[in-house]
Amino acid sequence: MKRKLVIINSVGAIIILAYLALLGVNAFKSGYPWSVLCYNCKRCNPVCVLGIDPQGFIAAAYSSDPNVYIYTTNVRLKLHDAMDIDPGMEIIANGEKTTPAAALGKIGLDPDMEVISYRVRARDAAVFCLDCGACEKACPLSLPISTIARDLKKDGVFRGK
Amino acid sequence: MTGRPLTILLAIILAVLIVALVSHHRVIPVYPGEYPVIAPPMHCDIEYHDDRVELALREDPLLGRVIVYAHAEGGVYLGILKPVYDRRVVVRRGDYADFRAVIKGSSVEAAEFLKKMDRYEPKIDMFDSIVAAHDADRAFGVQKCLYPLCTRCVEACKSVIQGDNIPITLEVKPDGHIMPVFRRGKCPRCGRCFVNCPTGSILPPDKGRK
Repeated sequence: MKRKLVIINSVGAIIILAYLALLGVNAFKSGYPWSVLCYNCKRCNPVCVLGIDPQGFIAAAYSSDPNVYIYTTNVRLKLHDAMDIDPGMEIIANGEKTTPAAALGKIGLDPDMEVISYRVRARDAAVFCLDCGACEKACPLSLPISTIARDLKKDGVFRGK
Repeated sequence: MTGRPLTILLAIILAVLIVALVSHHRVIPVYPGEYPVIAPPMHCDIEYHDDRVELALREDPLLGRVIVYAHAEGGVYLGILKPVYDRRVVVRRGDYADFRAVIKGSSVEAAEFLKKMDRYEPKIDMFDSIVAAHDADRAFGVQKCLYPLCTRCVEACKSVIQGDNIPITLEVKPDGHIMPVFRRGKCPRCGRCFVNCPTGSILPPDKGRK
């Protein structure tokens, strides 16, 4: 019994360590090794007027995937623009959560209608980012979060790519 | 005999300490650049409709977004960040204020966001606020500078000049909008304010003169 528990614990520890190592490798690959230091305290979250969750940029960096969907809850844009940017993003139209594809197709809303974003890809959120630096100011570790947004804004890829 | 060199040595150490102390407080690095230029405020023409207010801007904003503000009772400043399409901003009934600030004199005392994830606390209709400001002869309009949402220029300046006595302050102007105010005397001419300003409210000298 004891031997079995030791094996289970060891396998669990190896899986966790492998996962953490993968995050570290991805963070290096994306060019932001400091991103693994973020402990998701969410202090940066309530300071963004566009409702962007800056921790989402960090999550995108340590998963080395700029297409990760992150909360961006207060970007106003026209429905046809939302459709052009990403038909799969989550938006709020007439108080309901939907996607631009569904809003234009099934629901049949006016393409010129103004909608509010809810969850968008990190690289699209970077384009919306105002670069005001409020997230960096709020970060207790002073992580240079807006550098990720600035790099993604340029060409939609991370610095390390 | 031994007292005199010791006195001279002590006097030298004291002089060095005084010079170091005074210079620590007085050193303001001066870079070979030029002074920044504050961009003029943004103006707009306003059309009132039953369910919306349309603001036609006279210039294109750098970010494609502007703050539409309206002053309310008790020195409260309400703002909403709106996208600009073809130099037009439309505030419709049901567009709720993104943030509010308390104005005292010409400065912002406190600011808070009203949008929390997918809800507003409290819901303040911006269309009604603009109409109320218009009826009560209070200030409203559009603002290029993102203060109090953005304080990049001030933070950049503080990274060069120690203390709060910095050459850039953000003030509420008599017509109600907030814009940076620049005092030339203490400016180290490092250029960090206009490099960091995302909205073009503070311009480099060559662009500001055009």
